[in-house]
Amino acid sequence: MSNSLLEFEPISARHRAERESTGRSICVIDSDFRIVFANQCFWDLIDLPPAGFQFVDIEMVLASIREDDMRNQLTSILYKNSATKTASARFELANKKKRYSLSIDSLIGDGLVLTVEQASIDSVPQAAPVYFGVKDELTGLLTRAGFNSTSSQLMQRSTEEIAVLFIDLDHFKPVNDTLGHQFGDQVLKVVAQRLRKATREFDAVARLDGDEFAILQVGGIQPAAGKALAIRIGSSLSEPMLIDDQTIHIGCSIGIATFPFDGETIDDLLRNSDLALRAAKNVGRGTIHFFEPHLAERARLRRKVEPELRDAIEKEQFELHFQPLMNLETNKLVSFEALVRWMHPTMGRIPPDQFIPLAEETGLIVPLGEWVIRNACQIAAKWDHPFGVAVNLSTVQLSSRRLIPAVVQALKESGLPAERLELEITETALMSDSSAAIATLHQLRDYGIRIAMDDFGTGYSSINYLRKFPFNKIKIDRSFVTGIDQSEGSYALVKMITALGNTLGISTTAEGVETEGERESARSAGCTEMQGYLLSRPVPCSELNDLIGRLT
Amino acid sequence: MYKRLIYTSRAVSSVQLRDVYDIIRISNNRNSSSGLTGGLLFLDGYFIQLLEGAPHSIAERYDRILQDKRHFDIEIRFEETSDELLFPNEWMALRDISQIDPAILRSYDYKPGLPKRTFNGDRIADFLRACFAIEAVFS
Repeated sequence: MSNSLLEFEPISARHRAERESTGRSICVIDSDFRIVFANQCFWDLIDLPPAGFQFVDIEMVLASIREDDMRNQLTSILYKNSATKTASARFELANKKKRYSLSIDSLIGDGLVLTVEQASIDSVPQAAPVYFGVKDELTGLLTRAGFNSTSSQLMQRSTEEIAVLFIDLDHFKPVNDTLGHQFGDQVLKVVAQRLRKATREFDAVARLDGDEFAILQVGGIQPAAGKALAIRIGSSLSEPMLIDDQTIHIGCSIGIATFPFDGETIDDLLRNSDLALRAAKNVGRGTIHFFEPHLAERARLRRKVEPELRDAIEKEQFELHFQPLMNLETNKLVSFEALVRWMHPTMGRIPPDQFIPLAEETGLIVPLGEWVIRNACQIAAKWDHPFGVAVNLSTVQLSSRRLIPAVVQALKESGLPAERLELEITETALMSDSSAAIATLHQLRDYGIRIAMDDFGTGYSSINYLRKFPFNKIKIDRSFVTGIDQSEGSYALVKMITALGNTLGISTTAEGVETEGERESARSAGCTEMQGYLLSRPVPCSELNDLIGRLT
Repeated sequence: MYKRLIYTSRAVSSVQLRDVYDIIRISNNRNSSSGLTGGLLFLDGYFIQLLEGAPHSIAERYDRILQDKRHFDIEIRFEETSDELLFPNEWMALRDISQIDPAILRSYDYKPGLPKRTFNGDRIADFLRACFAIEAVFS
């Protein structure tokens, strides 16, 4: 199988010729004298096909060299110097009239690196940098350090395009946790074998950490070559594995960064392929994603914003804005949704889509969320009219043990009746730890607090979640509401949702109503309430009285 | 079942290799949702692109292509429907004359932009297939 893979990626004739004349041949050998890694230059130098020679004893490889002169010279240099483990030598092939300089460097721990370059008569052989601990004990792949140094070497002299693939196993952690670390180790070995089989012999394959792997692919045209390799790896790793009579399924997600487009150094490429990997995981399991420059921008911004966010929570730099909801039948205001806004002293207004996800990822959403609930209750309790107040709850908050005490405390301190408080959750909040989340929701509901499902219709199985918990309200996502007066399809769908709501005793809110036409259609389709710019954008406390005055 | 379309266009003078790479990588990232694949040649300042996939997706993508400011003089040179895809898995791209076997360039009598007087639709399709070394699919 390996041989046919060499034909997949188009390598131009020009590139091959360039490699031969200016390239540096590199061969990395472990302490058992087996070849751990060698680049195409090396195989061209000794005129042997790479297929079948990786992880083979260097002695056997040298013995297979057909050209007598080359074979004898290399063998003698290697064995003369393997004891001392560091050497440089020059040799000359009489018939080809070429001179070579060769250096052997030891690795701290184990192994050797052989570097061979064509030399001019006067050139002094350069010592290759020393490599540290190049091979991963468990899998036999390169370690992170080995990968970095091997890659740097290749990139220094390379005029070719290079892809770095950052691979993360999708379902490894549950397997490791339930079946034990020894079993997990077996899985990693199988993964390593499959990765080696999917790559060409002169691609560098490494195990970076835990269940993360990296591959350096040289000499293909990007992004096609990287994509082709990623697809091969993806399908290989999703084939079931039989280990100790257990069949398990592991998939992978892959991020790809290329040289020269996405970075100049191996560090840049690894970092950017990691960012691409995270983007891949956001899309879904088992996907492949190429690095795009905006990912780096976003990461930079995050690094800047995160410490500010911690600070802001302590210093209470946030403000609540309120957006009204109106009953479509009575045309009366019923409640307000509280939305958090962040006014940074120097960076200005930071939009929620830039700090809420960050807050969720860092867990800072818990103290932030508590601040929101506390303040929303306090503000609402002071209103002249008994309007309801709705607050968004994230998955992270739902699984925090602090949630219920915080909510109870907020109601008590503010004096707000529980029935006026509504908590909005999306279906993703229910997806992952569903039974614990549902138990929490029941507890909240038992206090009299209302629970609404937000963005209804946008998830995988919104209707299914209606079965799992007795929601008080469904908020129909704006994507159904926009243009509902122009689209029979949207109208029919909303009508179906409201009919469902009616049957189950659940009220329905049309979100994102922006025109009179949409309001009218939402009303006739059976929606209980509406929310949107037609009524009002979210406003700060200071403008609430005016707003209420205008709308009542 | 699938639609296949080939167009040619001229790149604006500021377009570089990096832009071409950018076009391809974004297509790769977006394609899982649109289901489109194909091949792109960037030769001597001309784009030659083959798109294939669901007719609706092709129409949507082509609309966006027409609005892309990186090129002009966009012309459809070939259109057909087919039950098979020439590029089932991925986007491919060639960005330089040197990446194409000179024998192919000679045998097709390649000229920049693949001028209409010597390249009709079928010939362009054959040329693309040869460049990407794809076996001809006879529908």
